[in-house]
Amino acid sequence: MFDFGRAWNLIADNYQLIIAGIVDTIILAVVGTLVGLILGIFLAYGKNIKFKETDKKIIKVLKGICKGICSIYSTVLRGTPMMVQALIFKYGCQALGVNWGDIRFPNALLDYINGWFIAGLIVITLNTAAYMGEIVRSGLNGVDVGQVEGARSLGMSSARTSLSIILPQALRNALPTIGNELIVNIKDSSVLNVIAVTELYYRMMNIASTTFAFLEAYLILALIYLVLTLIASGVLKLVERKLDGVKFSLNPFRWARKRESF
Amino acid sequence: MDNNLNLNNNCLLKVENLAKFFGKTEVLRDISLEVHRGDVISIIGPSGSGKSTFLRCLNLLEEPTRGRLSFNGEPYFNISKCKDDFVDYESYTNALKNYEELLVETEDNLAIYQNKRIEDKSDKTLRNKIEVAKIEFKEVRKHPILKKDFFDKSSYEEAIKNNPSFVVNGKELNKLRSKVTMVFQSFNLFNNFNVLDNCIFAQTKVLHRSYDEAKSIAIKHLTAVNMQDRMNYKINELSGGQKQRVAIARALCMDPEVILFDEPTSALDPEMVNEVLEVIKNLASKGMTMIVVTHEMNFARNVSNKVIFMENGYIVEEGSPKDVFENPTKERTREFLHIK
Repeated sequence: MFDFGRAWNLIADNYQLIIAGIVDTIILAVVGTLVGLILGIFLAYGKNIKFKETDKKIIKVLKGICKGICSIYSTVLRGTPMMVQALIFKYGCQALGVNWGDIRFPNALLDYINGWFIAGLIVITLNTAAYMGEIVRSGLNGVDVGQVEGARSLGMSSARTSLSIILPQALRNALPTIGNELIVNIKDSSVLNVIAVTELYYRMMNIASTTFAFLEAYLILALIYLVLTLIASGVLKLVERKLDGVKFSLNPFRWARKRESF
Repeated sequence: MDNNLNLNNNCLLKVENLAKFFGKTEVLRDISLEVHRGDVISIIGPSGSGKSTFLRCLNLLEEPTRGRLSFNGEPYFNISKCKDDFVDYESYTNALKNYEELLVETEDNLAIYQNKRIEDKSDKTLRNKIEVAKIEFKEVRKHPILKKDFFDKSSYEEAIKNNPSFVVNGKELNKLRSKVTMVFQSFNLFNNFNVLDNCIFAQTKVLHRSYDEAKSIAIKHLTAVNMQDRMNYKINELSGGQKQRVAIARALCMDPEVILFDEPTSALDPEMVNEVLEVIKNLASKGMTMIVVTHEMNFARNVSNKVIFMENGYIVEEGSPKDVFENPTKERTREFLHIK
């Protein structure tokens, strides 16, 4: 049965480990999502390449290769579980002679940042990039063609148009989905325990197996994940409102009110 | 020196034998037009007659199939022969017809044997016949008739050699587009900027003006279209008429020599139509060269100095508004304008 005393003791004895785990999880999720987003933008443009009739044959072939690589990447990474990807990454690197466990950062700001943590960061970033590619692509395709025509008719180059006009609008439209990806990443970083990344789940599992308070440990763990995701979605909502021009306010009653249009 | 020559010549935009195909459908056929400095040309005609496509071809938002376009005496598009001209369409369509017949025939053949086999399973020779028919059908399907087989490549290349095609691109195309700018039916303002930034952005990036200079120019033009007190608004906070006025100001900020209006008032309600038309009239009185695709007959009659009636990709009738609206020579124009 659930015992409040045991739960309290568990937190009181191990709060440093739990906080370290929370910090790890947040770093994994946030950095993974942001860097994944940047990679995903490249991936989206890669998958969106269009063939023109006037292109030379070599350019067509290069475009085809680029597009093929991007679609294979996103298909494979989205079609396999992240846990398996992490294991393959670990043993693949070992086979190539890179052992992430040997890498240490003696002067790191946080003492538990080690090789495995970096490996986990790479895995979650590469995995997120595949999803972000699709998210950004749907955002890009969702922007009205008229925006391109408007920009081109003023003499803007196509690169300038897509960078300054299309991409910001695409990212704004895709922001809810991007935020969803962040929330998924907060939770899914837990599978990285298979390659010994010391994130929240890994820490809690260790605590549970030393104190034998399994139910309490995992209930607390669930609560912490819930609070983290709630905070993340709240922050995202604020960012969205900020982008839509509503002034920053901590009064929740003001959030519900729409801005008068005139 | 160069400028003087152009002023004497006075022909700002010259269109010669412009044609545009979308696949097989001919949207524009052989259109020629001369636009002089200060002209206000209205293009009228039923929907789907190629008016908008013509306008979009002028600043190469749509690439014409063939024709010659020049701005200020300098050609920026010149394709005299396109690949389609060298396709032997007659034999192509014949071959296609024969091929389809053959396909149906072999498929029928296969089906007949298969049906027979269902009815009578004892006949063993049918099995071989089915195999043969199947192979035959697959063989036919494997070799479809392609357009490129009827394309006369050598004479096409020779024609290209004699008269090389030329399409302006890159920076020069962008420069041209800033001189021949366009106002759209659906406004196409940048949704991620506010009103002022919409007018500033292209100036700083295309004409390389400093921010302050661009801002003062933008404020000048926004004031001219009476939008000076909405400069910090977002685009989705404006009404349709206001959006269109901002779009006109944005086009004016580029110091264009020609403005192309693509049905600027079609998406607006009658009150807003007037406020936009007022702005366009103002521009006309200041001597701006404009080509306006419009369904507003009163506007075409009162403001423009030349009216073009287009249908099916042809210019059916062109002339001064008085001629076109009061004494049209062609039967079709009378029908369109309800003149008995």
